[in-house]
Amino acid sequence: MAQSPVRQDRRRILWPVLLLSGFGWGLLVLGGAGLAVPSLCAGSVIWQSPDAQAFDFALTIQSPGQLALAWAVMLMAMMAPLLIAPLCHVRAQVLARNRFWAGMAFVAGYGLVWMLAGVVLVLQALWLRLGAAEAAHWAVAAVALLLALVWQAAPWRQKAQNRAHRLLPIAGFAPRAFGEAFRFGLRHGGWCVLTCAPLMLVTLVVPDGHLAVMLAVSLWLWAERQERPAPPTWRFAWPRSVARRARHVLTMQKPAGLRV
Amino acid sequence: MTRIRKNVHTLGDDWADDILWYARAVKAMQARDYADPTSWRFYAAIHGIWEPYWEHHGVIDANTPRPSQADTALYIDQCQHGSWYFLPWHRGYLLALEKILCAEVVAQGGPADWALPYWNYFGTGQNGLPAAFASPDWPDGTGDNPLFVAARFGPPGGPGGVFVPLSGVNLDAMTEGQFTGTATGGSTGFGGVETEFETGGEDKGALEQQPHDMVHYYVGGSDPNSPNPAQPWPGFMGTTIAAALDPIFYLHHANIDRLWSAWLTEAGHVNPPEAGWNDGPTGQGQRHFAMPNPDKTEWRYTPGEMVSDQQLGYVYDDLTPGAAPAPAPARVAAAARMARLAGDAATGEEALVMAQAKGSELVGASDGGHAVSEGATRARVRLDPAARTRVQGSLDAATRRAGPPDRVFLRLENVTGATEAGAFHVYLGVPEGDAPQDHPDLQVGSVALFGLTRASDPDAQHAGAGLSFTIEISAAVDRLHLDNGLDLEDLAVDVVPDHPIHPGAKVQIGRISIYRQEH
Repeated sequence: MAQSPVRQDRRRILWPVLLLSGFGWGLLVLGGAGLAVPSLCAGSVIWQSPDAQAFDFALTIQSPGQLALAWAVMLMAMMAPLLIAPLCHVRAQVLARNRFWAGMAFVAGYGLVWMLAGVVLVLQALWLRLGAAEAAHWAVAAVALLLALVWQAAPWRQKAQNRAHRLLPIAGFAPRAFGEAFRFGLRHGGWCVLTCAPLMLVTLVVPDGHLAVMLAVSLWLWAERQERPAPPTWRFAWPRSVARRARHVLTMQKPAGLRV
Repeated sequence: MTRIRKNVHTLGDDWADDILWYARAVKAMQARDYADPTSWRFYAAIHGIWEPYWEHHGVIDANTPRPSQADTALYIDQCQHGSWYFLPWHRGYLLALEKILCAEVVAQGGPADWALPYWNYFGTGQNGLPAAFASPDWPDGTGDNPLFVAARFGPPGGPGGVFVPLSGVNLDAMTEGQFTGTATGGSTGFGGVETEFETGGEDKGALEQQPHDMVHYYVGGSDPNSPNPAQPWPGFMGTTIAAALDPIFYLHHANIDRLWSAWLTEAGHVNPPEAGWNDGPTGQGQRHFAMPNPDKTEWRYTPGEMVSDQQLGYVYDDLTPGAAPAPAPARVAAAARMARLAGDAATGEEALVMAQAKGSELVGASDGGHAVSEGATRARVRLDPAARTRVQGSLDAATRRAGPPDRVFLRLENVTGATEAGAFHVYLGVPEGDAPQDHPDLQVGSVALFGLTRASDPDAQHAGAGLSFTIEISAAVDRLHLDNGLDLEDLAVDVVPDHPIHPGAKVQIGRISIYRQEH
């Protein structure tokens, strides 16, 4: 089947990215539920703010290193498919011999921002899980989901998502090319964190079905990535483009004939 | 019945019948309510609209009834730019308008085979605005000529009047061999790069960039009564959100459509085979291309249905792109380039199989961005020795007729700014200290900022990435190579605004780069 040059450029990035993501999912499945925030009973009926002792105990069950590794694997699995467009851009902007390392610099910047965000998100998830009674864990997850949905409709979130779509020039020559690719990764990661962090928190606080929730959030984030920037306003942003495409495929609608 | 679209300058009279009927039909459409899908304003809004601009010019006001929500969602703000859909969408747009105009012509007792004229600004002595559009009066001296538009200012800083300066336009796009191009540094193709439903893509195809955009700029000009003089608004034709309010828009686009038909007559020039183009964005579940019929019903179409003007019921009286002789088609241009590099005296036509473009590669880039305002901006584009050597290698092979030479392109990337009333002329290799305008032989291209303000909006479709322009510089590079002058560490690029741009418009070029495209 004929493919346009734009599509050919995307395919060069697509397969390595999908392999990386698939590898991440494989590790998550084999590792068992990926990043599982320790579930410990709080003494209260509903909620009691956990003390430092509770955190220390939780971190003996899963060390900070284990949590960081699990978070990194989660990112690899969930976020890699969202990076096709920026990686294509980096690849096109730099000299041919620097493409791989410029791409790695971008990924390093992006990953750094998300790892730092992970510290905040994991601590937050721990605080929520340690403080809630076991009977309230699903309620905690529901509240987190509700807040994520409110954020989904907020104009500031739309602004952040718009900025995440922006592809700016990168210096062609090393070492500036690597530095600017890294900074592009930091910037892109920052806007992504602002856009996606509430949903990522949901994946951390669900008491069960962790993998399934991660997969659902991954698909949602990927579908959202297909949306174009839009005016920031209060409106629930959902992936209309993918929904329309899916409906078109499922109904196998053919284009209307010429009726002149 | 086949309509024949004719050259407006060769109809025999300033107010020949075809023009008179056009004016009468336009007047009837202009009298209809904006909310009426067969009205002039509605059809203009199909192309694009921004209400503050329309209100500034009194086209609508706060009390003007707007089109229904359903009609707005279906029809309004649909024009395809910076996209491989640019040509087929505009063909359908013109066809639909022509149907409505013709229905009105017939209703007023005119001929059923009336067709839109075209404006071939490349024809000898034909770059001036057709006279019927320049006068506020009908031929009998009465005012209110619907073809006249006050917001049509002509070339900024020009001698007055509306015309297309031939120094700023060319038919280089006709030598492009492939319809579809790339957005990563090589040719953007005759017709543009693959996109989804796209009203303002970052990269434009060769024909859209030149002459399409340049004519929009020259005719629209710059409004001296702009609300903010530092960020002037263009006349109607100079902006995507009002261009179709000007009746000359349709004659300009008829010429662009004619150039597409002319390009297809050459062997090897074909429309895209990809289903993604033929089925249009509809094939991916996106918004339809839709136009109102004369009876206000909906007409949907796809690019695949727009491939042949004859099948659509019209032809052009003359497919010569400009004044004779026509520019060489791609395969002949490529053969001529090989002959030039090989030092052959005669070129002639060769059965040269058009080599498919392979990947593109960065050869050089400027250091950082460049502001463009009142005078020339000079940038030094640093060249990578290894990539430059690959270019030289391909040119050496071509001199021995051992292989096709690389094509080389200059890109002005991520151009942003707060005005569309601007254009640049780009020069390559001007000696240090010389004025670029003193070296017209070193001018490699011109680009217009048509669509810039929307493209620069961080909350619009491309998140403020602006526009990127691609200019082929293969001929200039060949000359340097043949003069043994290509062993350079950098190349001087001068960007000269056609008319001074106020610094308050903050027009910036993100990066200037040079790419090679292997074949």
